[in-house]
Order: sequence, then C-alpha cells, then structure tokens
Amino acid sequence: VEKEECEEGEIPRPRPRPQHPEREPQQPGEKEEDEDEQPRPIPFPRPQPRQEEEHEQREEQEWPRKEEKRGEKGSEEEDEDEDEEQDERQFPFPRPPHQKEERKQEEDEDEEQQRESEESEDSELRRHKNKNPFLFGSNRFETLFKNQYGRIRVLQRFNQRSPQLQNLRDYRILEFNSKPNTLLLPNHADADYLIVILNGTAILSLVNNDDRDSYRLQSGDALRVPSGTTYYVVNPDNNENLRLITLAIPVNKPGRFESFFLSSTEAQQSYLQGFSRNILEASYDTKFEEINKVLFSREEGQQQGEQRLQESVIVEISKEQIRALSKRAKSSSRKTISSEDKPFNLRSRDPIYSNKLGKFFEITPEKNPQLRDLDIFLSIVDMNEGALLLPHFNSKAIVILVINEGDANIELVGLKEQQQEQQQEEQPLEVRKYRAELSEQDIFVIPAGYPVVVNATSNLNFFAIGINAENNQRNFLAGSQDNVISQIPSQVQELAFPGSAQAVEKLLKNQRESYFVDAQPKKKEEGNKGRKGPLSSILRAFY
Amino acid sequence: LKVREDENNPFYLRSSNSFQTLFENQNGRIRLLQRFNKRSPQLENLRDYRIVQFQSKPNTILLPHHADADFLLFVLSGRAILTLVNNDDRDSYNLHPGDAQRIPAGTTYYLVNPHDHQNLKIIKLAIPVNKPGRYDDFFLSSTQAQQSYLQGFSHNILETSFHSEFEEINRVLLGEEEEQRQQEGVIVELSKEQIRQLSRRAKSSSRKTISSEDEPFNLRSRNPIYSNNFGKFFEITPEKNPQLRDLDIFLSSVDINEGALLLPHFNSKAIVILVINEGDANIELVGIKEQQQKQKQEEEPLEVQRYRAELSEDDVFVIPAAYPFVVNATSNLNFLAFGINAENNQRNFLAGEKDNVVRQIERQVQELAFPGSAQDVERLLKKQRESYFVDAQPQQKEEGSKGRKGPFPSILGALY
Repeated sequence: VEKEECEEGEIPRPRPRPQHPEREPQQPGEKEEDEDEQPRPIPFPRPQPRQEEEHEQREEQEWPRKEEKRGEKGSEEEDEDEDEEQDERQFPFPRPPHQKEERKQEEDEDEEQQRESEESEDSELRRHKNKNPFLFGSNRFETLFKNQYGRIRVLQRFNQRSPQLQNLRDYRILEFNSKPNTLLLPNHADADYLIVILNGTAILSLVNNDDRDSYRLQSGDALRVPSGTTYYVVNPDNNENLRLITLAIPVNKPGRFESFFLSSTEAQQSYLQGFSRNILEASYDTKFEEINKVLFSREEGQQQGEQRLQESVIVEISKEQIRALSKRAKSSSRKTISSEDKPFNLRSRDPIYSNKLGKFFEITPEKNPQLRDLDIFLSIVDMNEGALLLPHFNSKAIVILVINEGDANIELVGLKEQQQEQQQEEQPLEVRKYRAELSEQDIFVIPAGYPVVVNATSNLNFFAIGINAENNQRNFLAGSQDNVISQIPSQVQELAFPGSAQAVEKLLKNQRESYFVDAQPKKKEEGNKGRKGPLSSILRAFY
Repeated sequence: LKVREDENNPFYLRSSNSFQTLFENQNGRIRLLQRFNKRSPQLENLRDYRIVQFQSKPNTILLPHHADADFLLFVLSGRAILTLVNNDDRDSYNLHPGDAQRIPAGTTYYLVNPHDHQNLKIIKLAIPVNKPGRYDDFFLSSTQAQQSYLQGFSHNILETSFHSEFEEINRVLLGEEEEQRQQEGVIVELSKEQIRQLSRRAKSSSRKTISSEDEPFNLRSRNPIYSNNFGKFFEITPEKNPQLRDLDIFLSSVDINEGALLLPHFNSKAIVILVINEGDANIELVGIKEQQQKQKQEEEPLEVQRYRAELSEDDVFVIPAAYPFVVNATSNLNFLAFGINAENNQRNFLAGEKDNVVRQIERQVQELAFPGSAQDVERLLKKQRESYFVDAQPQQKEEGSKGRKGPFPSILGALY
C-alpha cells in the first residue's frame, strides 16, 4: 500500500472477509459491511445508527394514531399531526437529504407561518401552545391502567415529541393517582424509578429476595426504587387522593420499559403465567390446578365459582388491612436527606431561594446519594399569585417541570433554527420565544442553557426534575443576586450593550429583589409614582 | 398465551447462524457473534458489547495482535498460555477452565494451546473503544490470510522508522510477494520445544485471591453462591474483583444436572448474556406482550409473552434485566453468563425456600394480589423445600415411587 491518503476500505483488513451464511429475515443488516457503507467521520458524538433510526421512526408513526384517538378538539388534532410530521422530518439531527415530499411540507409551513403572523396575538398564542415542542399537555399521556380506584399514565416519549428533546430519550415520566383506601398490587419494572409524592399519603413497600421495607410517605417525599424491586403502594388515607409522579430510567431498552405484575386481574396476566405448566409444577412442587387456584384463577377457577379475580391492578383495601400494613411502615426521616436508600423530603432543608413571593426548595446530587447515582436534582417551588421567577438559565441540567397546583405562564427563549439555504451572512440569527400557559398536570421541558421565566397566574406549586444535574448552576439575568450580567466587567458591558456601562449598571440595580419578584410592579408604581414611560422603553431595548 | 420460539425469539442467538467467522484454518477459528442491537431493538442497550469465540487445536499459537476493544476473556475448556505485551513489560499466564482475565484495549497478546491432545475453547466479551459495537484486530504478522498493520505505512515512513532499506524490512517483517515465507493464517502450529520455552515463564492464575488488579482469577476458586444436589452456581461480582468492577460486569459459571431446574427468578438490573458451554437446556423467558395500538381498549387484558428456546452448545441467549426466566437442563449442563450493568444486581427468586421475593410480600397484600387466601399462598410457597435448583419432575417421581397418584392430588383439591 503506497498511498497514505487511501480510504479505510483500501487497506485490506487484517482479517479475511468471511463468507457469511445467508441472512435471516429477522436479522436485518446483520453484517458489518452495512455499517461500513455509512462513513462515520467523527466517532463522538456519534450519529444515530440506522437501525435505531428506523425504529424510532416506526414508533413515531404510531403516535399520531394515538393522538387522533385522544385528541379532543378537531383543530388541535390537525396541529398535532402536523407537529409530529415536523418532528419526523427533522429527525435525525442533522437533517438527512430532503425528499421531495418533505420539501413540499416545508414550503407549506412557511406559507402557514406567514399567514399566522398576520393573525391576532390570541391565535398566535394558541398556535404556540400546540406547536411548542417543550410543552406536554394532559393529552400527551397514555393511560396504562384505569379503573374507579385510580389510574397509571405514562408520558409520551420525549424524543418522539421533538428531536430537540433527543437527549431525554432514556427518561420517561409516569403518573399514578389512586383513591383513598386502595392498593397498587405488587409489581416490578425493568427501569430505575425515582418516585415523588405530589399529594396525599402513601405507604410504599419495597420487597427484595431477602427483605422488605415499608415507608409512610407524605407530599414532597422522594425515594428511588431500583430496577427489579418488587413494590406496592397503599393509599391509607380515608379522604385524600394520592398522586405521585415517577421518573423512569429504563434498563434494557432506551426509553421503554414494562411493569411485571405478580397478580392476575381482569386487566392483565400474572407474569408467572408466562411459564409453562410443568415448569410451574416443578418449581412449586404442586399440581398446576392447585397453583392456578391459589395464584391465577383464570378460566379454570371460574368453575369453582368462589375465587376472586381483581378487576385491575389498583384495588380496594380494608381499613383493617391498612392498619396492619401501617404498623410496619417507617416515616421519611426528616432529619437526614443523605440516606442511601431511605425516602427524603424535598422541603426538609431551607429553601435555596426565598422571599415573600416564593420559595424554591431543592436537593442536588451532591446532597443525596440516591440522586447522585441518577445524576438528578429535585426541586419544589411555591410561588404566590402574580409573582415571577426571574429570567434565568440552568447551566447544564435539562429540567422537566411538572405543575402540581395552580396556573402559570412560561416563556422559554431558544434560537430560531436556520434554513439551510438561508444560512448566509445576511440573515440575522433570530431568537425564538416558546410560550405556554400551564395548568395542573402539564409538563414543560426546559433545555439546558435556554433562558426561562415563570409567571404564576394563580398561587402555584410546581415540581422539577433536573437531568444531568451534577454541578448545575442557575444563572439569573435579572435581580440583585446570582445575576450573571452583573458579573460582566463594565468594559465588556460597554461593548456588549448599546447603553453605557453606567446605564447598564443602573438598569440592573433597579430590581432590588432576587429570584422571585412581583410580575406587575409598574402598575403599582404607576399608581404611586407615575414612572410609566422611560423605564419600560429602556427595558425593551435591553431585552 | 403466545409463545415465541426459536426463529421469532429475539433473545435467542443460535450458534449455527448468529456467528460470523473472522478467521478459520485447520488449526482453529475465531468467530464473532452478530451485533445484539441488529438482532433486535429489544437488545439496544447491548450495542456496545460483542461476543467472540476462539477455538484452537493442540500445539498452536494465535499470533500477536491487539484490538481497539477491551476484552474479558474466559476459558471454557482446555489449557492456554496467554501472554500480554505492553511497551515495557510482558506477562504470561497458564490458564485453565474457569479462569478469567481482562485484556485492556490496545494490549498486544498471543495465545498458545500448549496441550498435546485437548482443544482450547475461549469466549471473550469485547467492549469496543472507538465505535459502539465495532472493533478491529491489528495483527503484526503478514500471513496469506491478512496483512500486517505495518504495511499500512508508506515505504519511506517505514524506512525512516526502522532506519533500514524497505527491501530489508520487507524481507524480515512482511514477506510481501514471497508467500511461501508467510504463515497461512493467524493460528499456526508450534513445536513442543517452543511450547516448553514459552511455558517456563508463565504464571498460573492465583487460586487464592480473586481480587487481583490484573492477574487472572478463577470463577470456581470460591464456594458456589447456590449449591445443592441438582446444581452449582459460581459467581464473581464487580464488588469482588477490580477487573470486573471497572467493566461493571459479573461472571457466572453454572452447572446443572440433567433433569434439574434453575428455579424461576429475575435479575434486578443486570442484562445477562448466557453462553452454553456443554449440554442442552430449555429456557423460558417471560416478557410483556407489546400491545397493538388498536387493541389498546379497556376490554383487552394485557398479556404476558413467553420466549422459549432449546439451547445447545455454543448457543447464546440474552436475559433482559427484570424479565423472569427459568432454565431446565435436559442433559448435564454447564453455562457461562456475563452480567452487564452488574453492580448491586440482585436475583429475586419466585419459587423455592430461599431468596423468594413472593414470600416477602405481606400477607394482607397477598390476600388482595392472589385469588387464594394468604394461608393458601403461604402453603403453596412452602411446598417447595429446595432452593435455587430443583428436580424438574418431582410429581412424576412421587407418583411412581410412592404410588400416591390418585388420592394425593385429590385430597389437596378437596382441602380448598
């Protein structure tokens, strides 16, 4: 071989190309030649392997169908479908060569955008809400189980919603609601769970091969349930519903996991029924009929008549039974939040930010070993009606925000993606605002580095999961503390902004509060001091 | 219940059609298992791992080479002298069945089968460094089957590097256009005299300690974690060995007697790659059936799915984390298992006396979870007095030996 510049393929490989047995139908693209056709100029970060891509796309096609079924308003449906198409088109990232059809869609959309820009502010807002790839309304959940005692729902995969959320593809959100005096039957999953109690009380029991732990959990308690741990959840309260949210990190497949229930109910089978009869007979040293009667009681059991089969995986439980289960349950230790495997409460430490308008509680990976293992932070934020959590960005954490109570407007700032053709010097890079009106149970994703502001339109409580949390920093853009702009030296401020450094400094000092402020201070001031005109125009120039 | 067998079973990689032969001659062969994530999207999280099988005849050597992958090497049968060469040192080890050794990426190594009669059989877990799931072997030698990687450099570079004329370099190292002077392939015969000399410097795996940083360790040097008349389960976890800790892998070697059952259980978090070394087995794995969207109505109950396979020598089967499974030895069986994501993994048994997760569930919950009463459940669970390994056909034996065929089951039936 003489040429240094020769391609990978030109140096005969150190091993002979074997004659490979003919390809089976179930082994698509088995041989390595397939992969070699795909040049991989930069090994890391790596482009999506083809297999995966096909797989994702297949799943994406499944979703719109689901959406159709769930969609309530006709107009929204349309928008969502379009949305999905857009997602697909943008995947993978960077874009594949355009196909004609896609090109057409794109043009359609440009037209549409022009049309929409002429429409009223109101409809634009609505459009934002539908188009906003970071917003997950209640219709983005898929119900796994539901009966009169409660329900389990799983949020749509993040990376299916938008390629912008690709890095959340290993994470799923589960929501569990149950009525008073109920039990979620024992099950395990092939995923690590991080459970947070939003409302109500729970007795959560974790069962392993050789021990069992039961915990009494209250609102704000969090606990990791490691993959493969059998667990069950009681709502022991007589009146209050239980609501918990779970972050699931699947083990076997990215973003997909299963729940394995021991019980057979009308809604699902016991996983033990997956084994054949002779295996079960040998394992339990018992005749199958007996095993069936005691553990499963499907068809065969009905002849005996008396055997109960639960309707679904959430069942009623008597007060007597609850009392017996409560006896063994430990409470979350409120003193220490650093336990390896005990529940911890998010409000057990002082809030990291607090004033009259709001409180921000947070537990970071540095403070808790369960969170350190998962590299996640958990926050709970209370805000008064009319308050603003000042504009800021997270340095490296991707934050999944779950509204627990109340309503809020959120504004998130990203950069507009440039069309390839337009990627010329002339076109200024534009920012793009993603706005949403959030209400109870809505979910919103805040990418790392993207500036965000939250405005509570009623008394608000939300909960946040930060992914990639270790050493994350919140950089505020306004307010007297933790303000990153204040840290820029005046010489640079002079160059960075049209105003002089003094003007910038003066502007930044106007806001004396930090973190949480009143969203309408001017109105009040207008009343008192009548400072309407000048301030707002400076502000506009700044933002 | 839908059962997926053999061809449709995404977890079953059959020896006869899932391996790609990288090299083969009369002295031995190297085979590479198909990529897991190509086999099925269900195995996506194994995409960074490959399985390599190596076999060689008595009195042979696999020529020196290195790869852009970390290897975890395990001797299934026969004997080996493994030599690892780095820039400033060399270590040779005598390996026996059950010995394991990590070969870090980029380590040049060669492998001798010093035995006069016995074949050597080795399985390697490969964890590629540069590309997920793909790596290459770089051989120093030029043979008729492949080129030396040194030939990738241009003549003048080689001349400068070795400070010699290219013809001289070619004559000594490469043997281009002189095929008769090259070996036929990368596994070549070795004389007894040569073997004797190589053996002299080789250390044996230390059987006392399994916690060595870089020396081979034997899986069977510790007591089995589960053991009875029907089987033995040897395991070394990341907590016990620094080489395995680095890779976050556990290694198990399991013996099961013909007709015995490894009781139903699941691994809490490890994905297990099972390689049959000797014998035959039936395996059953339970997953949840994926629902068709259209069927996702309340009426349709969620069904479980059984994946079954009849395994024989060299077959590979993947057991996803948390999926319950059972192994039934249809002949005397020995298998090896690599556990991926192994740290703090737990085995939760579903039957048997010990480590039985069902027995840990409180009776109030058992009442609600199962149609039988808590007493019924407890009695059922206590019926099996063995743990881990049991006889697969206990009922039949009882029936035969004690003639309790009719009455016993019917009495049981009458009791409930």
